[in-house]
Amino acid sequence: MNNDLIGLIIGFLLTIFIYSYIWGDNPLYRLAVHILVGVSAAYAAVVVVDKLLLPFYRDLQDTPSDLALITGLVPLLLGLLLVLKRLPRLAWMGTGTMALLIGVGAAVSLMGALTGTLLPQITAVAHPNPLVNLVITLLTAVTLLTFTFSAKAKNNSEWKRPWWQQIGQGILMITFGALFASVLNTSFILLIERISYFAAQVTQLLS
Amino acid sequence: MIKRSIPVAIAVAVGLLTFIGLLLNLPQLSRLLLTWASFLAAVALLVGVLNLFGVHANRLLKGNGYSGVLALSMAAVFVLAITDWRGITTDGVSTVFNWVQFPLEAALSSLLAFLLLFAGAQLLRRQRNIGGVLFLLTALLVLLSTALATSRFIPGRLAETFGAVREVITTIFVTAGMRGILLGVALGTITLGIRLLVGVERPYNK
Repeated sequence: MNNDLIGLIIGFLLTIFIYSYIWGDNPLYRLAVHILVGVSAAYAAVVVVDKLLLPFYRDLQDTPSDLALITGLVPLLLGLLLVLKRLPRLAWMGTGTMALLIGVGAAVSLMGALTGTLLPQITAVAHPNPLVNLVITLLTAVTLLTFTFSAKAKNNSEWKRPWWQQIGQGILMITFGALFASVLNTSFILLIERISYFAAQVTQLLS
Repeated sequence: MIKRSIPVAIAVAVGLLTFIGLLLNLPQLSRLLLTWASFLAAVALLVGVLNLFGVHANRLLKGNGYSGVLALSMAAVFVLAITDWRGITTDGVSTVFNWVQFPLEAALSSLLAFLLLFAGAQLLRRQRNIGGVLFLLTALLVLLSTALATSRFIPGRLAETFGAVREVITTIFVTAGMRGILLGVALGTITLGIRLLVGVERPYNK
């Protein structure tokens, strides 16, 4: 039995295990999902060590200047403190590292939201027709106003969304409907691809 | 008190330095901090994966079979990675990826078709309001127009009409909806980012 056939059989069995979920939650599906979680977590760890931590260590070895040593030792020390988070008594020592991660993450996401989403979305022109653009702008504003969740409290009366929020909610439902259809299309394409892949492989083996 | 204030000072100082580095285009400053952060994020991921392994190995000892499968699959990948690095095996980890992870991920993604259909049917049962009707009509229209666009058995005019209606919906309503969602997410991110950078929000102290 050659390697390709072994791989094909394993892949086919695991695919069947996953598809068995169509008839409800069952041990085969759970088995496949646990294998997936285990393999993908371990794979992520291996990739991180291979592509990030080892090159970092090699860089440090290749450029043994004082500055490189200092800038390299700081994350190493902070990384060690982060490992201490697993020990309940010393867990507080890793808080500084978490703070650094969150600080950098906040700055990057703030910058990304400003320059990557907010400004391009405000300045982008969607359609050559100015009237259509005006309608899109108004509808965008109405959609944004839907995300306001505060309301005046009135005694003995049920709160009703204002009309502009109702329009915004309608636009959101239309958007979700279109997105739903696109995702459904994509997943059907994937399903057909999987079925045709296994059918082609089996046909090739039989011939 | 100090235990709580030092992390706040670190988050605010490092966050502001990174922001200034990115804003004023000071690559040496921002690159240094981003390298540190990516290294630390990698260490955090490793700690998390090892924690996952520890938890499921403990459950295996208590007789949980599924946890045993999870821990053993992790151990198998780790062993293959070590043998790959030592040169005992070649492409062991890639083989596991191609034989196990890829088919499982592809199968799960394609299973989404059935799950979405079930979810759509549930929505029809539970959400019988204007929003539900709009959602369903749009989804049906987009699906029909996609199917009709490539079908040879449907008159061309019908397919064109569906295509034109779809064009209006996607150009005006979906663009406005997506833009509204994206702007909402961006405004939320900016608010949270500023709160973190000025030290009002302190998730690391929890």
